[in-house]
Amino acid sequence: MRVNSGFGRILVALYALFALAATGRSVLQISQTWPHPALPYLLSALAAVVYIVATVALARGGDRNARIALYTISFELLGVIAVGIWSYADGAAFVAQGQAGDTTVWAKFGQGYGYVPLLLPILGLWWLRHTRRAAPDEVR
Amino acid sequence: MFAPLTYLTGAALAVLALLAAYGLARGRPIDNPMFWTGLVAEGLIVVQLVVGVALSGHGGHGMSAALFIAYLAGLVVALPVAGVWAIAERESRSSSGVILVAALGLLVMLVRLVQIWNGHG
Repeated sequence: MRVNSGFGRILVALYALFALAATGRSVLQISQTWPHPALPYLLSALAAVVYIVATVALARGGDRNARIALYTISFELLGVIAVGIWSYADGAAFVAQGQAGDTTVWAKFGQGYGYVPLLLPILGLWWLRHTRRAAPDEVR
Repeated sequence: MFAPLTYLTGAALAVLALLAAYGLARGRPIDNPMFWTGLVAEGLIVVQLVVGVALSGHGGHGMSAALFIAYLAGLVVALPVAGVWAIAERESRSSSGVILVAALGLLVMLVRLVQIWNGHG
């Protein structure tokens, strides 16, 4: 099973959706508050970059891209968990412009997106592991 | 927002999601019912864009017009991309999977669109 076939295709679609959502969100947030974008807005931009790189790597497939996907998706999981904990520990840093609630994609473990941002890297890592295990004849 | 249009769009997307989920479960790629439902949904979304831009000054208190129009533009783009992808992927069930992801994503975006319109950006 190749990384970019079967369920991998659906994974790419999910990542593309989040790449679009995070990019749109961060561009709007940062452009509207330039030159002093708040911290959560910069985190939105970071999330956008991670989603775009992961989308491209998953879509292209192959050994090299699978490794790139592994790094970015691992970073994504760490990011969701770190930003999630951070947003609960220091809620004040995540409320900008008098708005209440989540101001970046990964705040509160992705609550604003139905926790899909937390689920997505776990699915991604599982899939990368699954496709690697299914090809035992490859020399590593 | 023009409520009847929004309900119609939501209904078309829900039907599309059901068809795609059925296709995915049966291991079938995009078929004619899915294609035409998607076309109807896309048509409704384009009307939504035109009406939305025309009415963008009359939203709820505190509505961000820029955010509202950005969401409308995103809505318009999603289905054509998913459709081309699904047709290119005709030989496998992931064709239906891609449509399912797009339809569910669009439903969430539609709900967010209504929230933004009401000023809960």
